[in-house]
Amino acid sequence: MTARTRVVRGQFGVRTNTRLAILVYSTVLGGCSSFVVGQPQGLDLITNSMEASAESVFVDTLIPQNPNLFYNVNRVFEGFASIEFAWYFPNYRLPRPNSQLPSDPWPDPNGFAPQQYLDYARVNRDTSQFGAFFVDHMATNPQAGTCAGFTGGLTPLPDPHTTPNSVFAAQNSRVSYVFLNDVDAVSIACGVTRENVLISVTTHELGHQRAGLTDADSFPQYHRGHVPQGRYDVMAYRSIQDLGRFNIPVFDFIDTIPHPNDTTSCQGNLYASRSFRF
Amino acid sequence: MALVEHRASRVPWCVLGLGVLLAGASWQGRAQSLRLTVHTGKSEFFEGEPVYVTFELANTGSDTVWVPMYGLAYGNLRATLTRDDASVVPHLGLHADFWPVAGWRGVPVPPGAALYETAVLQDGWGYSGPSAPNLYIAHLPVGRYQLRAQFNTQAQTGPNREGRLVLAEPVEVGVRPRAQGEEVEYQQVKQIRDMAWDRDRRQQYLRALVSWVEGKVRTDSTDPFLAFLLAEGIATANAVGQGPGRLERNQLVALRLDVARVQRSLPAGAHAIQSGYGMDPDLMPHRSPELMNSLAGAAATMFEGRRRTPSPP
Repeated sequence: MTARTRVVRGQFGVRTNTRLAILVYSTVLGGCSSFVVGQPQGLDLITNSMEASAESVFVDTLIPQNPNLFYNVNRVFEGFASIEFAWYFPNYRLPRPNSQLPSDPWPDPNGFAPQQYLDYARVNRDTSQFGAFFVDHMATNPQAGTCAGFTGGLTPLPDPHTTPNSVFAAQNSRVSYVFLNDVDAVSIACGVTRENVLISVTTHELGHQRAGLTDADSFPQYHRGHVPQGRYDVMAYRSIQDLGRFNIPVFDFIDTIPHPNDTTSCQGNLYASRSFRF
Repeated sequence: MALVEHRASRVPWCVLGLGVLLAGASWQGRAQSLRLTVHTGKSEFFEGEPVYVTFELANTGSDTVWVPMYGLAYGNLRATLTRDDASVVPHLGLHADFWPVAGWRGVPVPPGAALYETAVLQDGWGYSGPSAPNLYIAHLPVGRYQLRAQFNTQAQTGPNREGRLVLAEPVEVGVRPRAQGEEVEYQQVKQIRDMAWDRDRRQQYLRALVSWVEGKVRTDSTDPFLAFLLAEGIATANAVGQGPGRLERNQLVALRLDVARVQRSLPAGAHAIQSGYGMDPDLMPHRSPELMNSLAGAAATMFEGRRRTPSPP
């Protein structure tokens, strides 16, 4: 699996090339309503390489159990900013964080942990591209069978208070970790659709990585766009139960007309980052 | 807030509004009892010396306070380092995203209890320079700095969304040039850390690190590099595929406890404790009487409690 790959639902090899508006259907209490998020008008599709890797234990299950993951994440970025990721898999089998002890979990992200996560990425990825690591279990996340809050993913970021909504060019920040086993365990314990949770968590992390998007709860000034009825901005923290409701998350947005100087919505900030080059 | 929203369909709006007001007022009152303190242990460091920091969030009130996830990676605890010309020192850190379960209230901080987070400033604050990226993530050059910290009680979700900032007293830190003896030691540590990034010598990295630490603990267990090497140094070993096996981990826990005991009043001692619970929680002793009434002991009490209930409530 070393070739650069376009993604189609459920398999590697082809990516849908539709330029039509993306339809996103939302179910709300009391019935169904539909809405349309239009692909931004007059914008060429920007393609960024995205290296994806997973710990060995997931190699045989990541795609079969989550056939829409890469495809749906792409649909979100394409639908809101005409950015697509060309996923490729040069180093698909990631080693365990401590190869001496195969059961070692990933550490809590605080304290000494930045050293481990940044060094691991430095050793195991192509630093010239964006990257996503699908890894196992973080030590302080709930054990299997427990429906409780959890850390679904993390991304190295410069201080967002001083550099909000900007893509950080430093090589050691080009990666996001998603705790796949914890997504599975929590989703099962909470009775929600795990692939939906995984798609939302991955989209959220790549929002941080690709465009420096901020968290909506901490920086509401950058998330003043609207979202369709019954939906929420994927950069906002909502409950695990909410994460499991939709298989195509949404960013907040103004409309389908590009607003290049707008920083008040995810879509505006995604527009602003479209031309980013390493 | 999530709990209130969940009930919204069954509760009249006027009652809901009153409830929100009361809950908000109650939260604001409880948050007043939080105190954030930054500990650096000393105010002057030599260039290349790890600058340990402990962030202590204490509940000085008489009621339990519920707070968001506590830690630099979660973004609610934030530290800003500025130089004496008021410029902000760049910071690259991990940003961890925590999703709650519906109805999550936050992390409970009982009366008299405290939460602790430790860090080494060079883990993310600083610039490119001679000690980065192999020895540290970032290089902190000679100069005067001011460290400010704040904790935002605005939870990522839950009842605390209308929270407030808890500010710590700023702390002044100076970094001076190395003296001759410090230069020798700095070069020794740097050479060991460089081994992790040299493919030909990588396999000797862990052994060299442990050997140096053991020797130093025997001769001078107050050494400033010890806690760093036992935490970040082992983290690097894990990252590059040279992590310790089970026997070595027992040895490392003993070394961390030695360092924590001798440096128990310093952030370095708390850092040794945090790395012990972070890497080998099952090997850490239940309580260490030698750490009582110290910064390291207080941190141990918190991590011990977290070990008993590892999942967020």
